[in-house]
Amino acid sequence: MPKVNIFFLVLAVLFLVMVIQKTIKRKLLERDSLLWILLGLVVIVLGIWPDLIMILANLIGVEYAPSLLFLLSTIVMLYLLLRQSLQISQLKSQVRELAQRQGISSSKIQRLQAEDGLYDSKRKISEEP
Amino acid sequence: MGVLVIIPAYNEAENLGKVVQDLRDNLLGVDILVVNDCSQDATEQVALTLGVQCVSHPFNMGYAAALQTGFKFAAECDYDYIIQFDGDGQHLASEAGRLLAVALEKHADVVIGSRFMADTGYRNSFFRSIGTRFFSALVKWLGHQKIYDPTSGLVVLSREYYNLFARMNNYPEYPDANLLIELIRAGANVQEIPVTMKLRTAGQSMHSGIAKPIIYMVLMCYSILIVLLRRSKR
Repeated sequence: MPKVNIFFLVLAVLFLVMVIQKTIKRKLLERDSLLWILLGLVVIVLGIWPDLIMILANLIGVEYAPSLLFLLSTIVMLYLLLRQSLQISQLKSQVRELAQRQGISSSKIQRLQAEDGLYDSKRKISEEP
Repeated sequence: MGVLVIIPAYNEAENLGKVVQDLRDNLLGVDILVVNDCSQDATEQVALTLGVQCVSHPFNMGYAAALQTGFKFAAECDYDYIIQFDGDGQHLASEAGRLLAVALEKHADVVIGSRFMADTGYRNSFFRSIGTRFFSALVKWLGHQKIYDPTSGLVVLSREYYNLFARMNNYPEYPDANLLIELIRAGANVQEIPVTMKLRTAGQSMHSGIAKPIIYMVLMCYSILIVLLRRSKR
């Protein structure tokens, strides 16, 4: 096996270990880690069987096989970025909803407490004599 | 009949007292809600001292989010109408009263207080008046109704429509011409009457600088396009 393949294999395995470790430590949700694991596996497969990219390039008609690799990785990265954007948008509107509800709820609580305080002080005045 | 005046406020401690006093003197029988968008100054304390209802955001989210918080509050308390009212002192309570009267008389869903319908002495900067005319023309073209002042902040909304805005999970950052077009196309009864407004007394306008108006133009055009695509899909 050529050196360069071993290098990529080690890199991919380290990457996978890192992703799994983050998932174990609950820094990354299981569902969100799946895509990254898939990515790592693809790199491992290509490391073991580099001819795959040649076969694929032939199949599509790309003359210079490594450029297909770059094209595919760019597409995957763009997709991942879009996914991130989507999720951030969703999180933004959820955070906004929460903040608005929190604001309304705490103003209600303040009001109730104020009314309660009023009630208490009235009772104290009537009980005093 | 319940009416809620919603005042989105960011750093309006200096103006709030006068604004609330004006509302209490000239617009009877309404509740007042100040939505404090995480102000750096004493806006919240001033509101509480004045004895009006006050909702505070835990962090700054912008004018539109503050307005929507007001709609959500109103929806929970089930008010018949809400009045959007600026906290900087440029709106007059007497004019808000006239808007409300029109809403009741004509059973309108939306009543806009317009600065440009008649010469009310309000002076706009050159570039801003171009923008206003442009969006006014867009509303006329796409909604088939002439609205002279699509960016006005003095607006009365009926229960049905503020509820719609309260539920929108993507209430736009700038709720102006885009929402108007959406409402008109959805069949809302939109009215507009000329009102007098004052110039700001303290604090800073949210549409200042060079980059912001450009971003506003681009975002608004894009938002209108999205509204059109959304409607035609049904």
